[in-house]
Formats: sequence, structure tokens, C-alpha cells
Amino acid sequence: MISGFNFAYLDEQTKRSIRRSLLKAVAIPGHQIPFSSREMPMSYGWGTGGIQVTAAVIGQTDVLKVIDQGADDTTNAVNIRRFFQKVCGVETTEQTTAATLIQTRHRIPETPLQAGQIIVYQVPIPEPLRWIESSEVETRKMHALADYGSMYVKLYEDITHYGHIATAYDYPVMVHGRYMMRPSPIPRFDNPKMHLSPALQLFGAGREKRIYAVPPYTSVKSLDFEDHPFAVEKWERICEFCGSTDSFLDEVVVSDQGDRLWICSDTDYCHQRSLSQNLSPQSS
Amino acid sequence: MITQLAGFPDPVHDAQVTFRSLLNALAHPGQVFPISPALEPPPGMTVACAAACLTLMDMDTQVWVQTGGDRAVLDWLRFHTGCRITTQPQGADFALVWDGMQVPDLAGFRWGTDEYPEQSTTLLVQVAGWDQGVEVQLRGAGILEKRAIAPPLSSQFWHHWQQMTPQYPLGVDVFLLAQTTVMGLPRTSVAEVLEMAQGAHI
Repeated sequence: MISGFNFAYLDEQTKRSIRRSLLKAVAIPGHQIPFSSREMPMSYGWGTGGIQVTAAVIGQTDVLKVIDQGADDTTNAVNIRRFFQKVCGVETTEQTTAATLIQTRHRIPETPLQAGQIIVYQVPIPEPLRWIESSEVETRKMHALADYGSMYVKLYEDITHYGHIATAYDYPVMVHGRYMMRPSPIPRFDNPKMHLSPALQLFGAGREKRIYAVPPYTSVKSLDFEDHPFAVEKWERICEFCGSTDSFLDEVVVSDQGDRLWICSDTDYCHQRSLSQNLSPQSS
Repeated sequence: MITQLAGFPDPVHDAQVTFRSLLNALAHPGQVFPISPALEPPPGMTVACAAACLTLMDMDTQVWVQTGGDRAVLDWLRFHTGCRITTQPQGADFALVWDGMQVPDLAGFRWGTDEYPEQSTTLLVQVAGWDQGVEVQLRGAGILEKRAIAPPLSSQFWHHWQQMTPQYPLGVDVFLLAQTTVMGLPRTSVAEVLEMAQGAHI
């Protein structure tokens, strides 16, 4: 742990203002709360929103896991994990089940989250209606009136163009039957994991200066139509390493001839499955 | 504005531990979480309530304090948090209520606006314990199905609460604070009053 910085890097005044926003976010699930986002020692787009939320929440007894696209060993995940080791001296882990606090970019772990765990999402664009309506004044009004018809029109246009809803990630959801929310760029595959999750889900968008939350056991419904019900992606393949048939798979090009293989995106899940079958894992 | 009483012995970590209990309490309405830092609270204030004040309040917050408290509390609050004291409940970010049996009408506080429902008052209400009150069943976000609670709150309070919750997302959020424990009541919690507890006065 390095000296000269406050525990978890942020000053206490900043933590208090973020904490007040977090409490309101939990009280109004899915509603975006403005917060005074600080400059962090990494660029916007590298998870500064998630880092600030984690910094406001983390304590000495927490065990932190950080994932990027499901992996514990990619640049973003490694950097953020090291950052919190430096400024908090907390224990870290790669095991989903051992973590009390999980910061994530673009995935929800395959291993179901437990009551008492907190997952913090890094969010690039928090406003689900932003690509439909560019004005913040207007989108705020649309949320106030629960005027979400335009999003259904967008999804319907997908169906008329492609025959199905083509939105593959950041698939819009309704939270607690009231607010439309962007789940951050997780694959559509992960959306059902948010519904009635026993874990507390917190979202931080640093550049856009917004915080929102989904409390445990809260309804999170992916938008759909009666005749085009919501469905998740499916693969004809299995994971090359652990043989999983039900996890989210990454397609990896492995030769100049265009050979490819499919592997679990969640490295911990794949690792645990490989170990339990005495197979050699994809990472260790 | 002088006080003889110290604040948190370990300001950074005591505030963090207190905040986590407050966060957990609001995320799991009706469940009790511990707040027990080594803190001597000002007269008339519980340890949990004093810790919540030190954790949440600063110069950016307006605090309304119910009359009937000790003057020393205001000095303690101003000295340790730098908060501003207001006499207008409509302008309050936080409201301090001394007794769960005497919570003012919730409609008197700030409920936020349609566009900014978060600009609403958070009530810190002191209670004597977790039973002996009207038995109430909660449903809503953070509760798997339903949860029965009976904190010592007046049936008047629950009447006001039931008038408020249909106005969601507008409304106030409440922390109930006993000596060293906290329970959260976010505006999403819909309450059904089951029956009067024995000996509870209205």
C-alpha cells in the first residue's frame, strides 16, 4: 500500500458525495443520479466511473475481483486490481465465489452471484435513449413521463430490417417496472442474470457523471414484444478448454488460414470447470 | 459552536463501515444491520444515528432537526460535519427525528421532482428497538417476496407512508436508527399494516 494518498485514493469529501448519490440510486432503482465525477489517474473510457463507485464502497475487509470482458487477466482488469491493491491494500481474488466486491467491464460472471456481494459496472453511456434523442433536457423529460415508446419503435425497426431484434449488447431493460436502463455493454446473454439477482448492482459512468443501481431481488425486464419475445444468444459450439455448453463463448482466430476456436469469456468459470475435470485450464 | 465530544476515532474506516451498513440497509429494506463504532454520541442521540450523521453530512448538506433535542447536538453536528442547519423541512437533505413515535407528516418534507426524484429528504429516525410497534409487511425492491417488521413507529407514520408510496418515484427515504443498529425504508417499500401490536399506542 502506498503512502501519501487517502485510503481508496479519493478524499473523504468526494466519497461522501458519491455515497449520498449511491443511496439515492438504490432508493430509485434504474434512475440515473448525477454525481461530481473526479479526474482519476487513468483516462475516461477505462472505467473511471466504476473505479469511483468502488472507491466509495470498498473497505479493509473486502475481497476485490476485477474483470474485463469476463477475464481477470486482461489489461484493464489487471490495472484496476493493482490500483486498488496500491491505494487500499485489500485482498484480491480471481474467484467469483471468494469476492465480496466485483468490478466489471462488459460481463456478468457465469457463476451466480450471492447475497451480500456487490457488483460494480463500468458504464460508458448511461442514457438508454441517447442515440434516439441527443438532448439531455428531452431524455430527462422522457424518463420523468416514462415515455419510452421510441425505444420500442427502434426495436421494431430491427425486426422489420432483420427479422429479429439485432441489439446484441447494452440491451435496454425496465427496472422495477418504472425506469428504462442501460445495463452497460454486457452481452444480451447476461441480461437475465440481472433479474432478481441476490447481489447489489451499482453502475458508474465517469465521463457522463452518472450513478445508478439495481437493489437485490429487483425486477429487471429486457424489452420485447409478445410475438418477438426476448431471447439470448446460443452457440452450436462448446468451449475448447472446459467443454461448457452454456457459457458465453468468445470466438478466437488462431491461424492465418482463419481457423478459429471458441472459448469461455469468463476465465474464472472456465478455470474452475477445467480443474474439476482435471483438464488443463486456459489461464492460471 | 464548540463541543467536548470527539467524532469517529478512525474517520476514514469508521465512515466506510457505517456507509456499508447504510447501503445494505437501504438495499435490504426491513433487515437490521450493525453500526457500532467506538463513538460517544451527543446527548439524546444513538451511536448509530451519530455515526450516520458523520458519514453522510458535510457543508453540502442542509439538515433539519426536530425540536425537542439537546442544543449540544446542533453544536456537535456543526463542529464535526460543517453541515448547515435549516428550519425548513422542504429544504432539507436530511432530517433528524428523535422518536419513531413522533415522526412529522412525511408530506412536509421534500419528495423531489419528476425529473429529479433524488432531490428529496432522507430521514434519520431514532427508534428504541425493533419490536413493540405495529406489525407491517413490506414488499418491493430489495425484498425477495415480503418481510414482516414491527419497529416502534406510530400507525400515523404508516398511514403517511401509504399515502406516499403510490407517488413513486417521488418520496422520502428513511433510516431507522436504534442504539447500534439500522434498518432502511426506501420509497420502493410498499407497506401493508397487519395488526396492532399489543400495548402499542397510536
